[in-house]
Amino acid sequence: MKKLKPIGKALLIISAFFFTQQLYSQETPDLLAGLDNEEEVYPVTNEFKTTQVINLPSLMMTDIGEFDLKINHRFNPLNSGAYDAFGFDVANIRIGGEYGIAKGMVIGLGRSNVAKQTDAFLECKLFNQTTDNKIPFTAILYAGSAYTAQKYTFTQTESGREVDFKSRLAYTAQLVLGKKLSNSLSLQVSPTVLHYNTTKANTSDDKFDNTLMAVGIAARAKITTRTTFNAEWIPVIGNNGNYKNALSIGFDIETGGHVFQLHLTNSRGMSPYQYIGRNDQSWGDGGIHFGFNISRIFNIVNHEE
Amino acid sequence: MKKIISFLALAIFAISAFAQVYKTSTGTVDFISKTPAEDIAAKSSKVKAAIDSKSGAVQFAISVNSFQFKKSLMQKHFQENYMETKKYPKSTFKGKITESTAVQWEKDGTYTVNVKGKLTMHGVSKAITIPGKVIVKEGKPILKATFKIKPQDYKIKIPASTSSKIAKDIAINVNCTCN
Repeated sequence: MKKLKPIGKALLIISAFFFTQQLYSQETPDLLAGLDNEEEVYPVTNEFKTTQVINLPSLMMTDIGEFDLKINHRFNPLNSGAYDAFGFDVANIRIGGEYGIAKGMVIGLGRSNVAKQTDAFLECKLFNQTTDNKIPFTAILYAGSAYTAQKYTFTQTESGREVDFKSRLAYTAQLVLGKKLSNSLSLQVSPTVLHYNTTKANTSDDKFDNTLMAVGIAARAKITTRTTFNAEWIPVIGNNGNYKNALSIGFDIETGGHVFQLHLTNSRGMSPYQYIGRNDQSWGDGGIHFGFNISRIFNIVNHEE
Repeated sequence: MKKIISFLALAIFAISAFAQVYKTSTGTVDFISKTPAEDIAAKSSKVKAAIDSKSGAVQFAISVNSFQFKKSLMQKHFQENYMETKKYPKSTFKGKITESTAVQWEKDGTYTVNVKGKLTMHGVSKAITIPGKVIVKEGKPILKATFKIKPQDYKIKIPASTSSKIAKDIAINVNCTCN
């Protein structure tokens, strides 16, 4: 190749430059390049359809300014026999509500006809999983107490302690740790401590521990956008007599502001004091309760901008 | 040789000056769905936008999670059930001003334009022409547009039970001040 004169060289470079420029503009350059340096980070949400997996508090919390009305219902176990229409004739219910008093803080109250129990709780969000996964999971602290009003079937002498107001109280503290793994799959683990001031209600067995530990394990998988399959298992660590660990499976169906949860469970009670530590039914012998939860959200206070 | 270099430098400078790209990452987009049952409105203030004054090319990108609602349940439903943000985290628009000579970038004023391009949301891309305005103020363009879209065009499923609460046409407002 012959040596080009400087001016020819320059012309060549310039025309090449214009040519590439032309090419470049034809394939629409990414004008937004450089704006993406800072990745936007959002808290991960919608891990579950509502604030309960089935019985366990889920990774979802009632938002600030929202009131969530909870109507929970368990029929008697399927092994109740034909006379009780396999459990259908007996209704175990808990009616309660949860309210978001501050960002990441919820109070709740409920009353159940199971042992005439009133339970209250406070939930605090410790941290939330983020979309960039810098915070890889969500943690919530749940703490509560319950008062059991049902008359004891044993006397003060038998129990060896005073059957007073204090003896009717139970406490719980729970960490709800979990992660939304994908659009459809969420997992959570709920290490729990339960304390019953008396373990003697409805039994004469004295060997039960007053303090129990439990680790709830729960998951949900989406079937469609608005329906999910849920499961939870809550093995108890400690001497809990003949009481059985809770195992529940169910479906969530979301319709606008309502979430309907239909499930099968061996827990009759609907407060942690009952569904974790006081299950006398087991799946093995047909002690399965059909039940449902209805959640309805009412917006009390709108978000501030 | 010196002459050539200076000529080259001048040429490059002229091109880069001519092809100025104005950008922002704090533009706003809001939308409203009006029905007799209820109004649903949300706003994002983290809209990324850019316009190339030479070619008239415009681009927008929004993280769908950035839309803020007054009712948090609406926000959750929007993210989970309608826009499915975990699957489709971003909505984008890429287009071009059809009358590229309409805007005098150096002169303050309001220029009415049409932008033809592709709107992508919920994983669906559609060709669309959006009427808008370029307002040049102190040498910086403000991009404004108001238009309507139909959720069904973007395969956003609305169940029968909520169809009376979500408008067939969603009104969208764009307001981005670029630098």
